Amino acid sequence: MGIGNKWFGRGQGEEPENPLAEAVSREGIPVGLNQDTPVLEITDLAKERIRAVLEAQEPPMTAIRVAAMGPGRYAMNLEPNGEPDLTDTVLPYAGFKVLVDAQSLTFVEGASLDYVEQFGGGGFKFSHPNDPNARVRKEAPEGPEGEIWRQIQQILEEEINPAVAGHGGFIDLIDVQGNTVFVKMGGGCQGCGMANVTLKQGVETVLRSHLPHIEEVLDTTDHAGGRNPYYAPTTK
Amino acid sequence: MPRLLLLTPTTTYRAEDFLLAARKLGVDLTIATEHASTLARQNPAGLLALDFAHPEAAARQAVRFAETHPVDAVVGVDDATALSAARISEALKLPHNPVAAVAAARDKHRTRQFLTAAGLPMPGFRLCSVEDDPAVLTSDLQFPCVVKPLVLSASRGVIRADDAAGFVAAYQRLIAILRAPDAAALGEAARSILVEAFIPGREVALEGLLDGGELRVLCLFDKPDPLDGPFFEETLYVTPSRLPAERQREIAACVARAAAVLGLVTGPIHAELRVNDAGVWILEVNPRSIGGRCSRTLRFGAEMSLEEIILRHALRLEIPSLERERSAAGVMMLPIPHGGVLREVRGQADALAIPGVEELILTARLGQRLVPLPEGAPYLGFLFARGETPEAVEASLRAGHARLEFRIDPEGE
Repeated sequence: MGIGNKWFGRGQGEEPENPLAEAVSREGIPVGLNQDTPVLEITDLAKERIRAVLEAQEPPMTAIRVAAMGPGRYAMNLEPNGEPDLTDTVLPYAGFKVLVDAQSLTFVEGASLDYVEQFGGGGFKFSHPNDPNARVRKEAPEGPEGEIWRQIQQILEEEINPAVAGHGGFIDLIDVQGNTVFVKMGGGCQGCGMANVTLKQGVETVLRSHLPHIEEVLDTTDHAGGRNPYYAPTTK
Repeated sequence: MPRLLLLTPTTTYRAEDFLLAARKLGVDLTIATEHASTLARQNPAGLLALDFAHPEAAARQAVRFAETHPVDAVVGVDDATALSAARISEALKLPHNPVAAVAAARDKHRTRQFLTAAGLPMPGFRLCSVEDDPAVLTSDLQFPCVVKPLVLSASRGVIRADDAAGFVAAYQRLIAILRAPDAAALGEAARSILVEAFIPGREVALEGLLDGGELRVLCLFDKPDPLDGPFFEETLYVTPSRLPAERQREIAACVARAAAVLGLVTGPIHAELRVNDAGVWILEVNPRSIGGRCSRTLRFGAEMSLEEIILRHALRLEIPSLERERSAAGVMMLPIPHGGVLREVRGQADALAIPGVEELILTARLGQRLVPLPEGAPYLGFLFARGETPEAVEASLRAGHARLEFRIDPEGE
């Protein structure tokens, strides 16, 4: 994610004295909670950049706010008064704190924040190991198998994914072993109560109509990790 | 190859198990849902949208579909589709339960009227309205009693009251539940409240198959956890039952008679009953199979699932065996300990390491808002076990559940 314009209002290269620097032994652990893993892992470089931006404000600031509109959709801003709202989770770091609202916490938990140097400037970048929006793009193997891979990937991209995108989902090819195709479902498909129907009645049928030798399409998705399934089972 | 039309609401837990069974049988399968599948255009013979909320409309849609894709059997996977399944089957001239019988069985008040008139042991009951003043109703009530919605499932909104003050509170609480948007959307039935006598005793559930009006008992589940209220969260189902054989025969006879009185003649049947010194009391008789993921408890003959039996019966295929496996089996529907937001689940490996525990399915998602009964409904998941005896299975399930740790934070933290 790129950082908001106001972050670049002052020279990042200038490193004023850091009035907020203090030892924080449990960085990223919510204040008042006894847990071992930080909610949001921030790399040293990102912390350094955040502190620099906060200190460069007039007057210097002490907090940023991280929000998530959904899986993989993060936003970050300065928090001018530095005080948490009643429902905020407060994550302490050396020299600053991060405020996360209740709705965003689910999606922020387990995420990492890095600062990525690029030609012409850098930017902050969020990532999440279980981000359901993280697509899997495997390269087709060499040899005759590769042709099958490419055909399957093409069918997924041209016929399947444009359709399931209507429910915020996507389906990626993971592997082909003999006549069995392995896929991973993400977005609205991950954890969806109808995922199996989509896979067997939709994906498998379409693939077999093009590639009759395919016998089965198997699902490798961690559906329990789905944060935003399109259909959630509710009835007994 | 025969074609099966499987009515599968998008909110059901049952889709996967029915789909597996249908594929095992190798039939041509059409899955119908109330909303069109994103891939319906790519597989119009296999994916169909039907208006389950309006069975007449669903029947017209299905008849049109069957003109190009002849259908040999129609199966509704749960309560929400039972009526549409009956009406569609009627329209397609396929074996089915009478639509009126299914409608009566799905209506708790009409079920009680029919069964009471036939002399079956039923708790005393009275149909009230959300417009009624509960304080006025208390004048001729006996306590303890139970207030129930006519709609909703999984014990949602069911509350016991032990005195007049408790009744007024329970009634008002149920009214609030019925006014929630999801309940209110269920129509006129969401404006009615059933008040009935609380029947003490142990609760059991019978799973059966009706064939030509004859009941074949597939299994009888004990519910070892007391269901005495004030809310009625179901947790453990263990089979075979530990009740005496004579009492089990009495239960089966009671369910068979109830089905006959309602007019149910074919397909799966799921009945809930209470058993005490006064006898066997029917609470519900539904033309469907057991809900949630609980059917995974059951295996018949050579690795047949309950769903396979239901589909074989509907398709008029041979059923090699209706005998459940020899071992005892059970499921714990993992209860929601308190409301909040599910943040973390620990102990899964420890739970699965308990001897007898076979499978854990977590259905609640991290970050999901959890609402316990009586306002909420879904469970955290399902834990399954098998063993030599029902006692061993129950012990495995309790030990496995004890290993699970759910971190549920208050909302807003």
